Amino acid sequence: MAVQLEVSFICLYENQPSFDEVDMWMRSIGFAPHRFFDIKSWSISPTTRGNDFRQPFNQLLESDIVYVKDLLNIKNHSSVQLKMLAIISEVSFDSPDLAIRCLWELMSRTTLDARVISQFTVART
Amino acid sequence: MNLIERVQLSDPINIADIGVASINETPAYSDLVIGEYGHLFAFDGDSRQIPALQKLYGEHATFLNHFLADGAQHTAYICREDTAITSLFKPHQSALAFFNNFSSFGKVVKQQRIQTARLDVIDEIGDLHFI
Repeated sequence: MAVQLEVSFICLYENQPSFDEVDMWMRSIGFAPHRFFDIKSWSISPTTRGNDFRQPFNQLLESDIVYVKDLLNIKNHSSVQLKMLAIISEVSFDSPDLAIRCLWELMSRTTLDARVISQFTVART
Repeated sequence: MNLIERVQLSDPINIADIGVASINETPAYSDLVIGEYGHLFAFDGDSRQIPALQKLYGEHATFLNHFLADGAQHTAYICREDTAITSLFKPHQSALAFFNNFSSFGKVVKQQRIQTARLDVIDEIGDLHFI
């Protein structure tokens, strides 16, 4: 249901797929981007910031990006999958809005008490 | 409120981390695994990384010493252990040289012909929910 990938803005390997190639492929198989994690920059040789090569200026290097299957059509997921996606969204992605969208779908199937959504919404938004 | 307890999940969340040694930060799935709501299948073809990973995740994870790809033989480009740059892709030296210090990070110390495995035919894992 969810895939977190490391994508490169500047490819450091020969024949490595670039970010745009990865993004197009993920979309082609039904995944949509949800969030970035840890967008990394690195300083361009030979200039360093304060003699520390690990302190970047602005040059993008790589990032992790999360894709979600059928993000705009979560009705396609089973109830078990929706519960898992809600939990992953809350615990791993810090995305209460995505979790609540999953909970709403579960409620429409009468597999979740509406009070869970209201309590979670109050606690997390 | 604890969402995990309120939604009453009956099955564990199966998580796969492919190239687990390449993550320097705390992985996004860490709380799921440590909280015993998910099980981690940790893949890394670089066996030097496994003892440290076993110490970190213990019984909450299954470690699989595979290079995942298309199931064919490929060349692995082994780089310094502390850089996690070892890959089936060959480091691009001119791209590495664009950045400070990357030429040394991406120096290939050994090339090794290895057998890769396909993720969809590995018996130890079932359905995966978060990769």
